[in-house]
Amino acid sequence: MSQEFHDENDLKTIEYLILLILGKAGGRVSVLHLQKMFFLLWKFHPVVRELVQFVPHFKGPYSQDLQDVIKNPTYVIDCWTYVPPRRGSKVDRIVGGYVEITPRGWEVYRLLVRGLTEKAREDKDALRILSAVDLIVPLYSKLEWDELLFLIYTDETNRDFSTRSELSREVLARAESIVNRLVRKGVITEEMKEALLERAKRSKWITSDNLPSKDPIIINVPESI
Amino acid sequence: MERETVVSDSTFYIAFLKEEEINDPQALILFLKSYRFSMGQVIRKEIREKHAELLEELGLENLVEIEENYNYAALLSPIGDRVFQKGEYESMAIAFIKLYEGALHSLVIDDNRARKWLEKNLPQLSDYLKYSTRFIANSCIVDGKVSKDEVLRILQKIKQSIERGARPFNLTRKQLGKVEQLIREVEKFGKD
Repeated sequence: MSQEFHDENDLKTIEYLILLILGKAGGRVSVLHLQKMFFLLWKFHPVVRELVQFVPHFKGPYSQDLQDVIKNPTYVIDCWTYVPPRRGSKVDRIVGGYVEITPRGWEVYRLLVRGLTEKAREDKDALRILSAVDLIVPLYSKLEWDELLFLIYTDETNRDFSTRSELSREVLARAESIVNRLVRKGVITEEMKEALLERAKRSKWITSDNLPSKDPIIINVPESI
Repeated sequence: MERETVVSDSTFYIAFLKEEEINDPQALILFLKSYRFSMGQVIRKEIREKHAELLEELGLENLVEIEENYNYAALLSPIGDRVFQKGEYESMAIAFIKLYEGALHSLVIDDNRARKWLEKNLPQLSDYLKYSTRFIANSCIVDGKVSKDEVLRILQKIKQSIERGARPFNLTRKQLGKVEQLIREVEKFGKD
């Protein structure tokens, strides 16, 4: 599925969702973070699942549709800028560059939140999107790239999306340092530390089928568990 | 909208259903009828795994709002360190959204690790966070939804179950004093 096959309304929804995440994240977010937060919303919400496809890819769960829209929005124009990775920056290369909100983007974001808040009074889907963004963005946007990937890769519920990552070995190798940082940031508690390290050891799927491919596998996520 | 939605981890439900714990499904039904309980797919699965027949027999699922269309567990699942803990994080996500909706009455979680995480990361929910036994006591002394006699009867059952060595709501003998304190609090209620 690529952008040209999207229904006009679907495309607008994807673009507004990007803006919603971006605004909630304070106006700047890496493409990697945007992809992963969108992925969590995609798993959560049946309407979002209809909008894009996620596949296991070099950096874990990935959506080409989303990538296209981030770089070339069609309807929500001049609201953000895609900032490509700086030459020589390893982190920039890993996170795939950044998305930065523009002054017009802030205006549209504020109108969007107001409109969605109004709509959420009647519309359960709108309410759930708005509140889910409020729940996850502050939590995950403050993570470093390896902290975010560590949590995503070692979560068993994402195992089918985490088998082809070219970064998994690097992330797993620094598990202890990542977990210590997560404790310092308060993202996990000291008591959760050992269990999370154990979780990393159990996450064999991350490296067992570690074959980056240009032909990603398409996974159908079941509607219910 | 009235704040009457209660979101709970599976330990709340299971303690009422388990023979060696409170073993009183009718008391659970009483709570489910007095409030609007909401649960997600993970919690439902956890309860069904252990008490499927009882759930059918009592029609418990008809008394709970089951959030089937949304996978709440997915939102905080990367944080939950073990699969069986996903239920707690699913409950937090549902509670957060119910809070947004203006419908949240209580979030009932007994696991101290999960509670500590929540207080640090989702402080908006702190005021709604309750232990099961506190929620049961408050159903009488704060909400007036369950009678004093009924609440005292349930708290006594919890106490006896702990004395027998069971662990309703993850409580151990060390916490017996807290249950006794709650019993005194409820006994005192209405006497002043």
